[in-house]
Amino acid sequence: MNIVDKILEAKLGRVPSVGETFFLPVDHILAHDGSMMLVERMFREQQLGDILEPSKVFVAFDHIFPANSALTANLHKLVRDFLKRQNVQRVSEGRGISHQLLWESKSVSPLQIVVGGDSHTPSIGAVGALGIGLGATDIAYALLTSTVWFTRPELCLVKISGRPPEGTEAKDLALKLLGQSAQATTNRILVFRSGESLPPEWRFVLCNMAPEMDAVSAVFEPDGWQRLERDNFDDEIEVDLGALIPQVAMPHQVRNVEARADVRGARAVDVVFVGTCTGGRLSDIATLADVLRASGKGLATRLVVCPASTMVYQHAIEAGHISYLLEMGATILPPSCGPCLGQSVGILGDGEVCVSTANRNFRGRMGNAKAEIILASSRVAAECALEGHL
Amino acid sequence: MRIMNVVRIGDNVNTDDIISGRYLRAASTDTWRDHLFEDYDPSLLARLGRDALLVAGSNFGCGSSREQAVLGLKAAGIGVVLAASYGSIFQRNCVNNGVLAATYTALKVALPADGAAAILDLHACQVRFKGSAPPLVWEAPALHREICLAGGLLAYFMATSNQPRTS
Repeated sequence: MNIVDKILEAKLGRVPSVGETFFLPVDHILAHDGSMMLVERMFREQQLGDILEPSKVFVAFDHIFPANSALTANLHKLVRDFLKRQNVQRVSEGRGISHQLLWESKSVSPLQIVVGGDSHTPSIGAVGALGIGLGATDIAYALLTSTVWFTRPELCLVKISGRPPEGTEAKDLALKLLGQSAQATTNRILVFRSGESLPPEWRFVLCNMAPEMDAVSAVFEPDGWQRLERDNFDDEIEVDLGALIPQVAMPHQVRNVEARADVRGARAVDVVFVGTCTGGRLSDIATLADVLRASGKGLATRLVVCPASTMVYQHAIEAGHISYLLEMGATILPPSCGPCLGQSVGILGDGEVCVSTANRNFRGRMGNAKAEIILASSRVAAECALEGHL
Repeated sequence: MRIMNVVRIGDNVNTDDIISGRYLRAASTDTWRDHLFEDYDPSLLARLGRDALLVAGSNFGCGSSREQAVLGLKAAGIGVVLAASYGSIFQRNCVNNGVLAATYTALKVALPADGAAAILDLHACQVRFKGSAPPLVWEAPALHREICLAGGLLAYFMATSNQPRTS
């Protein structure tokens, strides 16, 4: 049996068929200031009652934190008071991005189910759990009942073989998959299976970008996962890491993927952003600092760095990366989603080009529809910051 | 039966296109209605209303889970959308707010032009575009219909829950 059906069977007592819709019990409920603001309003205006199991809930103020306006601050207040009233204990304000914090907390076990009021909830698939991204109404329902309605999608196995060449990152593989596999991944759950044991960050990034692949979710099979007889996958993709080369997603679609070598120098770059749930971990900041150090050159663009969590930030400080980046002229933002969603800091100017380690390059994503965003790995981002062009 | 005007939009229209991130923090639903599709096509808003039938291409509502996209459409009077396919979270957000998000198969029905008239029959789950036969018929899982008919997921919860409401 495949890992997805194993997860569902543990909750339902049976294996559901493809296309079947049912109510699914959940183990963790994740939300942030953005989704929680809508949830709070639903509870207040519709007098929904109490959260059934507050201990299952984790909320991070990460999308806009600290508040950028009185309006945001007042919405934060409503959410803060609501969580207190409802006895939700696990609340983070400004300690980083919800997905990163949930992962760091080690509170999610393989085969558990996490629902989250954020599309990148599948990130937790990195530990072999099933993360399902939802809207605010679904989260309100989950808070009330500890269940969500769910339709069992088809499954696509992504078989990874080989070892990644020096200079490539999980981001390159995620972008490579985005560039080639729309049909195989759309509206399916992806199951990643690797011959070699991949680092935890790799698993996180691949599951994190499942929504960009239009997948419902993604689960990375844990090391030592014992496959049972029939897997029953509906589709299969095979990738050889040995052949991986750096990739970029050009504006304004995540599937607008090119090999970086084919577009090198094609665009002048104004600002480089290293951060987010996709590319704001210690390994990303370390790669950025190492590439800059090795070059001995100064920055040719603005550089904005936003650690994915306080823990990442502290480790980057201890390793000397932050001090070095500050000397180089980088702007370091507090742990949060930062400029990725164009709601508070790091808004782009008209006609500007940003190379970003984030997961979305939609028109207007970073707060200005007249700007352009190119997605890349932290290494490619670092090179762009040095060269001033793609 | 309702007579509707078709408003066509393209493929891969994401929820950032429907409502930009800069409007998500708002005190009222009106904000999301008033800025619908602002970056995608600012001329669209004037054409949205109770008699507008949004007909999108594939992967409609992909990307961010922001429910403000559906709340804005609903506030504009949109109760039905049609698309070749949907971003999965957006489609659930539609169902959860009692907005019918039906899927068409382009092979079976010639797609209507922008501005074309359409006759919607919610009871029969079908829409007929003027000058085109046969009608487009949609199906939805029983639970989608149940939730939609209840007026959304929270109304469905109210109707089905026996739990005491304490606060």
